[in-house]
Amino acid sequence: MHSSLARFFIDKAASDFEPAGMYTHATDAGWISRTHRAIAPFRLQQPTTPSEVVQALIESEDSSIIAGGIDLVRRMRSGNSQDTLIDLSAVSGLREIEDHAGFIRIGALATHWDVETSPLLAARLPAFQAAWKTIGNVRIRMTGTVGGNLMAAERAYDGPVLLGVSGAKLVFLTDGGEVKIAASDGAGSYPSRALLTAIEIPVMPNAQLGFDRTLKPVVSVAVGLVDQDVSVGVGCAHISPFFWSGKVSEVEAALASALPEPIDNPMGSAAYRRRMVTVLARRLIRHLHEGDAS
Amino acid sequence: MSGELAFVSCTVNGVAREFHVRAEDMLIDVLRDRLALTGAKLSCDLGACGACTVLMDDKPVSSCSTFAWQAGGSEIRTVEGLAGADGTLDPVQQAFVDNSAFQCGYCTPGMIMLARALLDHDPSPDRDAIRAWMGANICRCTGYEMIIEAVENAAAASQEAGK
Repeated sequence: MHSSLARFFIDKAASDFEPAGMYTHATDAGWISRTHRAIAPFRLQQPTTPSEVVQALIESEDSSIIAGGIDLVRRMRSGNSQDTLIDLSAVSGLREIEDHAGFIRIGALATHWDVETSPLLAARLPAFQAAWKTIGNVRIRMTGTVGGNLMAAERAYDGPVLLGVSGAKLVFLTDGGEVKIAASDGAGSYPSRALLTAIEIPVMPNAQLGFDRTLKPVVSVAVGLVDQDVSVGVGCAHISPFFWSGKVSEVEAALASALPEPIDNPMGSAAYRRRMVTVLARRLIRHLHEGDAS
Repeated sequence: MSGELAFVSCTVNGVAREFHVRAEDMLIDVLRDRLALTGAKLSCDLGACGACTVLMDDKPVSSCSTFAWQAGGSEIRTVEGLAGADGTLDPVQQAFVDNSAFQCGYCTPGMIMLARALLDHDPSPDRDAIRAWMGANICRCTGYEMIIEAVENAAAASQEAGK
């Protein structure tokens, strides 16, 4: 039914949106499809080993890695074009969750669902697993990867905050070999033209983890506690996550003086975000001390 | 720069299919435009609303945000493939009809596929599990209660049939 009315909407859509990235088309099915925001053409590479991925990153000036694609596709829809996408689906050995002496190693291609359903994590890092379970929805958790959550470097994402306060190390493969970065050092310290291959999370018998994301996207706070030593991670409130480590007794004074000025916008004022960081951190620490991590 | 063609071989609702696609083509476009499987709906175009949900190797995915080449080697199931050859509706479809679990119907194919994935994963989910799982998709008519009840009834009907 290509009525004049339908034609009107096609023309109107075309005149309103082109050339700003929309297109319209009729289909073989005889229906008028709702239209996408166009994704610019790109070259696709599908290496099979981590070192081939690193070589591909070096050879292409304007390339991006695609794992689950949750974040990348959204960015490309927003006009962030890429000359080359390097697909990791044919690279094996990057999805395992393994027990090592003193730490758990999570392959960068493990999905959120893999983390959520791992018996190993349930036994060794149950609080981490419970916190990770709150990420996204089931469609995102079954497709999105732990590595993608980190490499997206989005200030509202939970992965960097949770891993930062857990004392995790990020393992990158570079042209010069393997490099390990503390998760709390943030995305600015990630090596360029490198493949994140794994995340190593220390397992300590007396370590505790608490996480409060109820005020997202205004602020989120994670707390890692080992006896009287505490790490506080703050998401959403700044351009990139903020981390502070010290003694429990120093938290409130330290957050008052060391917390950078938060983002100030209609979603949440800087003063409100600043106040909530301290409230949530204090509450999480109290709950952990009382043995209630929820 | 110019895009490249990729060769995709997969099964769609049990039928082997092969395509040449542009790297930037999305799975939903192949399903809707080439196979005339118009059940999956394009709505938010961001992978957020779930109206385009199909199952890829039993996993619910947003076909609007999945490149067609990512479906290579996989088994795709759409709402068109749920009913039996004789037209018998899948228990989830029947429960949606029985519970009037749709108003405008635009989100319904995605909701049904999401619910099918849940029952494949967990045949007897409790109400909290259903609410958490089905929270992935958005119904703009806000008919959520009937949707949740439909999934509960579909689970119960499947359990009953399996006895």
